[in-house]
Amino acid sequence: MAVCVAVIAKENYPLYIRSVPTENELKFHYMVHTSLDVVDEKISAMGKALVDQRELYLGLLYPTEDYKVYGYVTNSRVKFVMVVDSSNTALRDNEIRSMFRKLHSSYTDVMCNPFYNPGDRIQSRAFDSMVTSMMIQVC
Amino acid sequence: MRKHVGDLCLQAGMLQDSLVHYHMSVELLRSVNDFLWLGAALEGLCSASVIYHYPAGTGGKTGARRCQGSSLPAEAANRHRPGAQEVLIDPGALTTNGINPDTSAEIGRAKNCLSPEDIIDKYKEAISYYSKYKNAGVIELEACVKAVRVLAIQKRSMEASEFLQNAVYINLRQLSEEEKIQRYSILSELYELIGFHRKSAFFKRVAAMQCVAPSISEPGWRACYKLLLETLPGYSLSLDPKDFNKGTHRGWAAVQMRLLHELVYASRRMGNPALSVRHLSFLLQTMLDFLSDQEKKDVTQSLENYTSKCPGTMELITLPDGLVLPPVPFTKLPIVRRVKLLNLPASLRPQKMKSLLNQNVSTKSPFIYSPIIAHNRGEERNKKIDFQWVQGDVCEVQLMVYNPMPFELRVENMGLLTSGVEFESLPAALSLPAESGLYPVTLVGVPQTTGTITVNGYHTTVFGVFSDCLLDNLPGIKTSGSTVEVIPALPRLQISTSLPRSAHSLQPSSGDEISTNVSVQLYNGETQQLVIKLENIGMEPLEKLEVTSKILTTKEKLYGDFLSWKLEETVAQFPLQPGKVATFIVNIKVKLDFSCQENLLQDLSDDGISVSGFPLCSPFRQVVRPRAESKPVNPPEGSKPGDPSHVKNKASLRHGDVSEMGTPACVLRASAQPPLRKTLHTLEAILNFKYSGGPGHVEGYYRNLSLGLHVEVEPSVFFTRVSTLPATSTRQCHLLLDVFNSTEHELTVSARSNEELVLHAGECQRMAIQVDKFNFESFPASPGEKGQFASSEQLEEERQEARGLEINSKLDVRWRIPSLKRTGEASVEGLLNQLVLEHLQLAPLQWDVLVDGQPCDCEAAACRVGDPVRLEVRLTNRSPRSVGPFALTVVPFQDHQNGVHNYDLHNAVSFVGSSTFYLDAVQPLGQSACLGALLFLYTGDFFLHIRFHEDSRSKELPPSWFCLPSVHVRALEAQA
Repeated sequence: MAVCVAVIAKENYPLYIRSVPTENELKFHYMVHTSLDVVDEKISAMGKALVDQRELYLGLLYPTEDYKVYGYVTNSRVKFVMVVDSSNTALRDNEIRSMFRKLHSSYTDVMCNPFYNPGDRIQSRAFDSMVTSMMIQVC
Repeated sequence: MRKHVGDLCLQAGMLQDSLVHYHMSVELLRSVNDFLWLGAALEGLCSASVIYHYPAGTGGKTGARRCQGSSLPAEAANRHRPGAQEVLIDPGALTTNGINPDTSAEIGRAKNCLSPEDIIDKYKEAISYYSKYKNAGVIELEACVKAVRVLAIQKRSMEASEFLQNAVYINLRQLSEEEKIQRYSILSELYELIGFHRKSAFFKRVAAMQCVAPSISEPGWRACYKLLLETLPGYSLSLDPKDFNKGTHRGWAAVQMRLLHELVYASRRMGNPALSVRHLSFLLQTMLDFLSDQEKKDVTQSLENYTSKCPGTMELITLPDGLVLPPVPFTKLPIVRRVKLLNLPASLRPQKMKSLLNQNVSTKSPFIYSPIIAHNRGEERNKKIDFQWVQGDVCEVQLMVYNPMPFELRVENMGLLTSGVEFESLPAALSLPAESGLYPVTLVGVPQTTGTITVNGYHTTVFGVFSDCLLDNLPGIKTSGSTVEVIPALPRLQISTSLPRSAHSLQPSSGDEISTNVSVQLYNGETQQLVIKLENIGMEPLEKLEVTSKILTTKEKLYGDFLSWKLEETVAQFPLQPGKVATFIVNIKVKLDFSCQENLLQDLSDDGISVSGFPLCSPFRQVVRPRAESKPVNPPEGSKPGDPSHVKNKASLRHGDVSEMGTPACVLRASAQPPLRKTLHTLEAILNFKYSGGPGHVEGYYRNLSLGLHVEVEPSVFFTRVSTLPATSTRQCHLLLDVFNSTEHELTVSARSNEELVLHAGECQRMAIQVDKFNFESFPASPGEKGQFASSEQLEEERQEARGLEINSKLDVRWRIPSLKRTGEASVEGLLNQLVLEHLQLAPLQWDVLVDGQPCDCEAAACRVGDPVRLEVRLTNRSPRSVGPFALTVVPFQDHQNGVHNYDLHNAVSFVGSSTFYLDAVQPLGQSACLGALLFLYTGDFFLHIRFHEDSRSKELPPSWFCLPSVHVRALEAQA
């Protein structure tokens, strides 16, 4: 159901990005890249709120004709961006939320790997397979 | 037509009135359900309110405003309804007209004006009304844009982005290409305004692409390029390669790559190849990690195409609008991992004279040691390497490089960048195989002046792009300092010798680096001349030369001087001008132990292949046995068929050992077999030539050249056994040597150059040499060493050595191999044991027997029958202690020459007086004598045996001290 999943570091460069129709990867790159504007905006708006009360899920960032872009930001300002096919109406906000939570826990596992150098691209196979499972879940 | 009135009021600057009119028109139009007009009225209301709230205007840039304004009249022609024209009215334009809210308007505002939130709501409403009409797209867009501007002022970017998002979807069909571009640029500008840089960049890029869309007949590449450049900050891309040197690449590689490709393409179409080369090389340099193999190939291919027209340079490219493109050095093609300045080869390495060094230190500071100075120097030196380069000599820098590309990389014109000293860099071209591992590249150059040189980097030409790579900017590079001192020029010496060069390298533990190795094979005891030619191949005259030698420690005991030379003759030829040759002669003399250990004796007595020397439990035994047995299959040329069988086997075994000495298996074997190791020895020595000259000499530098000498010593002769036989005289004795010829050739041995003994290969013969006894006590012991540090053992050893030397010089045993025309000496030094030495030594008690006052030693003393013969026994004590008293008995006998000694001579010889002599105790260096007389009654040959009485003999003195000569007396017929 997710068409593209991206993990973006605090400094706004991608740690991980994968999309399903690989032939049009660049389009998703652009999409995720531009969505960061919205993410930044949302974060800065939330900045005043107390940290512990902050909602990690950012909700819909912006819709396009064919896709919807959702965002999620961790407390360490690592962003998860998911692009979902907008034709898939069955998808509820709650499901997106749980997908993000799954992504987050998987990302935490990656970070726990002592051999992972923070700031490098994520090459973990476990993470990869998790993303794959999220992508083909419904499709 | 209230709306119209409102519009006019607004245009006339009557805000209050316009607000009132707009409100009224909205009320009216709502009931009429004319949505387009309603929207227009709402918008008018909003504009008026905005003017009220933000008198300074909403637009950020006047330029953009103008642009917008100019585009809209063109659109006006397409308008459906004239009423919409009022939309054109720009709040910003009004404020510039100088309308200011006056105090009286305050009340009216409170009544009619919209609050900031309401403005947005009304805008939303207006837009939703507009959107009901397809033809109203332009107006809708217009309203959106305005709303966004208002929101931007209100700092509500989220909502603004929603409006913009909506604006993007507004379908405008009848737009010209130019208008499209403008639309996108304005969108991008608005995004920029609300702080969405990425969005802005995206739309700018779209606008740029629109400029060159295929539908346009005249693509505006220049505009496209300009717009693309403007997008760079949005993609956090800087065109300065320095920003990419810090660690791994961070960014949206795919997106950035795309952008760079577009830049390259645009610049190429612009007709500026230099620019495209710059962009392309930037792409290659920064995005290397993200390019696929195919892409790498494509990119380099196109880069090569471009550079064939316009080579890449290191100059800054300045664009017309002031943007400066810094040069892009290819630090990743190839990637340099390590830079190491190489020292000169050992033979050319300059060294400082010790004395001068001391002077230097002493002039620096009056203190012997000061921690402050030492500390400073340490800091100063941390980047400086502690060796020197020499002016005029080729110096090397080693780079470890590797090629990250999937194809062969040709790097041309690779050289060093240096500073501090005039340096002639000799560029190199190299070709690195695809995806090579670390590959060492040596860059060379010649320093032309003296001083301190710093290697800053290197320059390359890859794919036609020149790049200067500075080491400071390279990430992940290992360098062990890059500063080196260049000292004044020194001469260079080349050595050639009369001996063949050897592949043997000396043991690595020797510490010195050997420039040349020569090897020679000598028989034990042989002497050979080594002629060394010294050629000055440098540019400076050679003024000074010192030669030292160092013999590498071997377990073998070496007798005599191994190397000896005379330097004076060579030095007389100095100074040696460049290109001149001097000769230098060194004598090599090998004299190893000629003795033979009992194992060999055992071998000799063993009839067949000997394994008796091995330790019984040796695991090598099984291994060695078949090996040794296989040897006789190919008999060596030296063994003749007629030889006794054991000799043949012996010889062949030895031959095998000699020939196989080089293989590791044999080394192993040799270590397991101590007896056979004796067959071949190697001696190694190093000759050190210290030389200097020219300006470097003045500065106190010299160079050191080492010549390794590898001498294989083959055994020539062995003395398998040594023994002594007393000669007739007490002053002399016979030395019996069993000489064994261990070579494969016939050999002659001579001693004291009188006897010649011919030995066949492997033959053993006894040889007797008559020698005078030695008086070792007369050697002065070296006075200095004696008292202080020499332990008694050392002293004893020294003494024995000295004795050996003395004996050897007396003996002068020489061997000669006629077939090879080789001669040499043999030394008995090593095999003289204590017993033999004692025999060879003159006893400290010297006994002299005088017959008729004549010393009687070897030849018979003559006397007459009937006459009494005076017999005197004289004792000289040379020992450091007193001896005696002694009792001596003279026993005459006759030797029948058939082994029978006749002692019954009572009626032939009579004693005058007693036949027993008594000697008193003799003090050191004292002398004592006793006299007696004999009367021979018959003619004949008589022998007198002088015996000690056993009881009187001091037990602690060695028996050889009591060796009295037997006296031979010939009694002749009495003369009448």
